[in-house]
Amino acid sequence: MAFPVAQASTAYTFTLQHETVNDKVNYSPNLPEGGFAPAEQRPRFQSNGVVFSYRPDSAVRYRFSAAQQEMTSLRDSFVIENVSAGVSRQIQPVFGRRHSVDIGVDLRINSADEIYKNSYTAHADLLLTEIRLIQPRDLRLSIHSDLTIALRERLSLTLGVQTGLTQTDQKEVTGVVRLNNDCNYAFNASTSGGTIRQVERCGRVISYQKQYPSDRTLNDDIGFSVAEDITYRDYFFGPRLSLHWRLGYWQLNTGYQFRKYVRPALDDRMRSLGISPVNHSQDAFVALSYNGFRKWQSGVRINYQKAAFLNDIPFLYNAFTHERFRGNGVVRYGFSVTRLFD
Amino acid sequence: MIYQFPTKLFTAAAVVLSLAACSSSSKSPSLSSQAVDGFIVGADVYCDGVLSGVTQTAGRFSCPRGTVLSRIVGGFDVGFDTTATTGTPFTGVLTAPATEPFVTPMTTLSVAIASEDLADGETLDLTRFRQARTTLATSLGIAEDTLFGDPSGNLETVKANAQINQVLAAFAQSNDAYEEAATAFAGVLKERADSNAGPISLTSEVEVLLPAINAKFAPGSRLFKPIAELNTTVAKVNEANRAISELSSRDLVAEVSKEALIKLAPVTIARSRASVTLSNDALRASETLTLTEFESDTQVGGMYNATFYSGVTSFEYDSDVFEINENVVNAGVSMAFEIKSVNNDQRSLSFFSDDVVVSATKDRSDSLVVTMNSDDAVFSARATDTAGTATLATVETDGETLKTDGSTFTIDLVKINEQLEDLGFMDSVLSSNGDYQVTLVITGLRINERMGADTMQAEQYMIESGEMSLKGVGFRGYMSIRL
Repeated sequence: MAFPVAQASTAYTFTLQHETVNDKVNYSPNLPEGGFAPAEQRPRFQSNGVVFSYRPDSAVRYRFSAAQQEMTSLRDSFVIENVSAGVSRQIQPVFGRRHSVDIGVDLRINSADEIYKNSYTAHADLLLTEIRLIQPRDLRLSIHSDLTIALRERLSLTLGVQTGLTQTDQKEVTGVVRLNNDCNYAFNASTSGGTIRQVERCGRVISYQKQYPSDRTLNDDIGFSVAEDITYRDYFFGPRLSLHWRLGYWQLNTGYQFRKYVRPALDDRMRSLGISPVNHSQDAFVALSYNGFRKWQSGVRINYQKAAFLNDIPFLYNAFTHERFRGNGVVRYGFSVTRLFD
Repeated sequence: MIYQFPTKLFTAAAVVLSLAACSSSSKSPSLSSQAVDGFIVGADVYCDGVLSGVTQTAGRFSCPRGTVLSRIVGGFDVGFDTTATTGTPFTGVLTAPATEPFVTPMTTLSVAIASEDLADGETLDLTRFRQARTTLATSLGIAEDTLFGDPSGNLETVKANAQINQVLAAFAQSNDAYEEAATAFAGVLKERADSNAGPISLTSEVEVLLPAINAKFAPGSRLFKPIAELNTTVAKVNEANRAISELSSRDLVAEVSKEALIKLAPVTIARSRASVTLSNDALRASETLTLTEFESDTQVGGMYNATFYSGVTSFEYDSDVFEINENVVNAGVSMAFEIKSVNNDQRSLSFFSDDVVVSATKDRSDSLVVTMNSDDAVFSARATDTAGTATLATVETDGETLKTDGSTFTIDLVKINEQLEDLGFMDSVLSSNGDYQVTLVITGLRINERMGADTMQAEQYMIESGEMSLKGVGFRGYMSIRL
């Protein structure tokens, strides 16, 4: 989430930022021996990060950021690291002195040691009792082009489009599935195949294991494919607009963004299983910043998101987790403090 | 026997040795030893009852530091070749304290002597073992240093071990009978020593020794020999031990011992008159070939001699293929069966079990009974389909997986499939066209082979399927399926 920073004459800035959501959950994970751990109230999402930007001249800006994001649900909690880098260039004037165009490119990477979904999920004819993504990550490359029009001395409007692509990946997917014989089978799978293993004795079968030499053989046998159900590539595009108002040391921004996602393989796969994919997101925000201190700036921001976090952490979305991206929106709150350097 | 994917652990006999002091000040994390009769390679190693690998070349193995008793089961006697990895099947179980540098028939007898008169739950300390060694030396009239010298370097030690093994092998037709035979032998030697009757010679008093051991078994027990059979055995062991005593090199001892053990085998495979029948029971179709025809890997018109135009559901080996030289009573063996494609694809189907029991009456091939030990019999199966997907399962059976009706020994794939119902095993191989190698392997029972008038070491075959493997005597044939 980018905070607006007045940087017309500032070469370097360093920002600390924190985000959270209004939604809290009583986190109570499944215990290995059965039952649940005592509930602990936590926000569903919070993030702490740093942003560093550098402006060598009035036209070019470089931006680097790193953040640690923590997501919590009723049964699951995990930490996701994020790093990003971007560069943008302002072209002005294009249509006149009141217009300027900003074009830029950003690269964002999310990664985690492990994402553990400790709750039951039905998929095709299977009941997954737990699933883990081992070393998941995603990489998103986006290009934006924004036209800013100065409506008045202190009021401007920005209209823009953004497009890009995302690729998700993981080292391995593991989990436990329960079949209709009431026996549990542990599996581990990657794009190069996998293994299913009976967890404990099942009737007269003391042990059972199936070894698949490829993702295709795994899919042919049990209808699960890492390459088709978990890993995906998407293409996205969408418009955005924002209003910016400055009064003295205060700056108020409000805006809206729509993004459409096209996932050629994953969406077709999900539809074939009778699942409606979540293929768009919306984000509206209001941000207020104050830079009355010569070298410091502070800000607050409120976002309302539909399909929350689809824009932020792509690898969380797959054929098993899609339902978490539907439904009600999420209100996010952000706070930042920025140090300005000449 | 080198069958892994264990579902049961062989437990040591109720002998636990506690060490008064470690014999080695080495900081090595393990205790190294050698299994020697000749060198025993490929044998299962049990460290305090826990399966811990197999013996390597020259019989070397190791157990974790702190192990009190090492136990070697099965394997192959390679003589004194330090690089050989296969040889004559060794049917037996050798034991020794884990701190001993060698595990031999001599240490096995010493452990058995040391275990005499132990109360239930009482542990045996190293002092008792040392005393047992002295008792053994006294009862055999051989210096203790000789008996427990280098079993591959000291010729007299080599001879003594070979002679003891001949005596034990005379009663132990299978691995699981060896320890029982050792206990009886130990009892005889201890009584001899306690009675001050003087030493008993392994060379010249075989006709006294073997009956005394036989008397330790209750009539009707699986190791007990009726008088006629006992006399035949005495003659064989007498001839072998006398020959061994006169040899001048360890390699000659190994060779003569091997030949003598071959003659002691209770079961002989008579390949020249055997036949095998492939059947599809549902279609009532069958084809019978001689074993020679079935074992030929020559194709005519792109097909083997055994060509079937429907799926095969059973393989029946005529019982005449087995000659029963002496009574076999509930001998525990390991068995494996495999069908494997030879057409450069990965299709295969294999079964392994350590819970097979064999019984037969002397001179009656039609008395052969091969069954699963039904109390808690287990077998493992592995199948690989054309795509390379491998399915492995270990299943508790109902005891009906194998069957013999006297006239045939049958591998009934329908029965086996019933045990693996819903696990998707059978479709990958037997319901599709192809050319296949069919192998049956038995180990743990002493079996030789006869071609014409010549008796020889039986042909050995190896079945390897994933992590499971078994090497032993048996049959290997070839068939083509054309649906």
